[in-house]
Amino acid sequence: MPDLEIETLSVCYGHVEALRGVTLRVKDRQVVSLVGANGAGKTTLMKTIAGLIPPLSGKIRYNGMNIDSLRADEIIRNGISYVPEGRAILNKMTVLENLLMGAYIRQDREVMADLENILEKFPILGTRKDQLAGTLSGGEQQLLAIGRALMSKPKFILFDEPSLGLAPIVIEHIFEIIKDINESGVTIMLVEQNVHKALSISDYAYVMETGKIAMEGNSKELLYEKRVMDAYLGKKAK
Amino acid sequence: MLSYLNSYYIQIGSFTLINIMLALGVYVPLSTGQLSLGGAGFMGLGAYLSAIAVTRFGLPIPFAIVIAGGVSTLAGILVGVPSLRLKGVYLAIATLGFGEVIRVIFIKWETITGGATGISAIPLISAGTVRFLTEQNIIDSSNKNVASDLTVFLILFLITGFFVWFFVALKNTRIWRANSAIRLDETASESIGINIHYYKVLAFSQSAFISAIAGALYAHTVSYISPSDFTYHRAVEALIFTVLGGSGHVLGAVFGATVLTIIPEALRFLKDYRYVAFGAILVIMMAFKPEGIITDNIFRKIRKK
Repeated sequence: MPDLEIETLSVCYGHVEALRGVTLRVKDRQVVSLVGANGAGKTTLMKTIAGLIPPLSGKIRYNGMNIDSLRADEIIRNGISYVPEGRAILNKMTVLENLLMGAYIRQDREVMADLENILEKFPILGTRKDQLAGTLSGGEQQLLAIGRALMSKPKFILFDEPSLGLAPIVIEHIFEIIKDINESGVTIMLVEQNVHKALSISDYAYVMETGKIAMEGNSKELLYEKRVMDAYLGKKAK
Repeated sequence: MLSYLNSYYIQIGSFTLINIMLALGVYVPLSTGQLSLGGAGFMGLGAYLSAIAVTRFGLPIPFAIVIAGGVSTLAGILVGVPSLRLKGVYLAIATLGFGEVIRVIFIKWETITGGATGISAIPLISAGTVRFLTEQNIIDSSNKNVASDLTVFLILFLITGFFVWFFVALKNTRIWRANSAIRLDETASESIGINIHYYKVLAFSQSAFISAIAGALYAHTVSYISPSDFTYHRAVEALIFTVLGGSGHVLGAVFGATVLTIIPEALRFLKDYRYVAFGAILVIMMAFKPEGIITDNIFRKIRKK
């Protein structure tokens, strides 16, 4: 079963413990969201899965294989792609070059066909394909980051705050795309500040608080759970 | 025919070629976003290794130069693996420190390096050719020196030409694309699946190799080396060549090294004031063209026409 299983994962930045024994599971083809206040450790958890930060202890298993000691480039070769927070596009390269860079790990001949598919799926990128990526608007850059991640043909995508700094109508569009990607058979883990949106498109959710999982459950149920809002926004002063 | 050539001009040409190699040594790590000032250290390492191999152990010069390049590349990997965890100015300081350590070793390890007085009477790379030409009675004692300088220049020209060709040809390969991605955004590059540490160490060791070859050739061009030839001043000089010429393009390093080797010579008529004028030229160029003279835009424009 190509699930992602994380067991008692701990991560430190120097002496600061950012994750303290996180245990969670993302089932195949699900959308799982990770919500929580700033500094709860959501991004750290994603970066650790993506191989960008080495874990201190604990296990990360994907597809039954231990991936916690792999480098970032080996993780992506195993089908896990990370769309970083703040998009992190290559701003001095063109849109087309950015997308081709997404296929960096691939050597097969279908890269060009996949490129066509993505340009078709995101027509705005097609019309701007020779433009430098840095000249795109925020929403277009997010689409580019997503398109670039898709170019590696991942089975699992980690989205780190895809709605960051975007207009509501654009956010709507981005979430539609994430849903589409999931329906095409890709498992998704989503970090979001936009709790309502995240819970409305996900199957299962984890609420993080100061480096630990505070709560978990079906997204639809959590949506009506008062404690989620408390954990996320902080308890109201009485 | 040889008597019409002027040794002085040929030598400036030779130093220009050596400087181009040193500038490439800065350009290559810079193309991955790493600022290395270890060039002088690796240049010194290459120069001393080759000079010692030839003068003490009697190895043939080409063989000695290859050994110097190989050993320095290994040294580059050893220094690169830990120090490339550093970024920006911290890496610059660490590599500068490496250069100073190397220089102090040259001064202190007198039994091998000759200490502060250095190594003299290093055979020139032209030695074999000149001997051959004399035996064949093609040259005689009247034009022997010019023939020697010209041979040195041609050998340097071939080697430098190879390096420049290599890095021009590298453009649009996987390695080059990985390097530019790393320079633009390390996190993005890692999440695309580029092993950024590998490419950084690769660039760093290439830089060590070129700088060491430049150093070895320098030793066999001037025939005398001492620790004061490899101070941090030389590393900064190489950085100036690259940045002024245009650090975004290989030919920027070539152009910068050429112009900035020739300008101080062309300014000799100013006597004591020539470095004042040179400094002023540097300031003016940086103020008006901070991205360097040769940029990708220039090539884009040329292609459009």
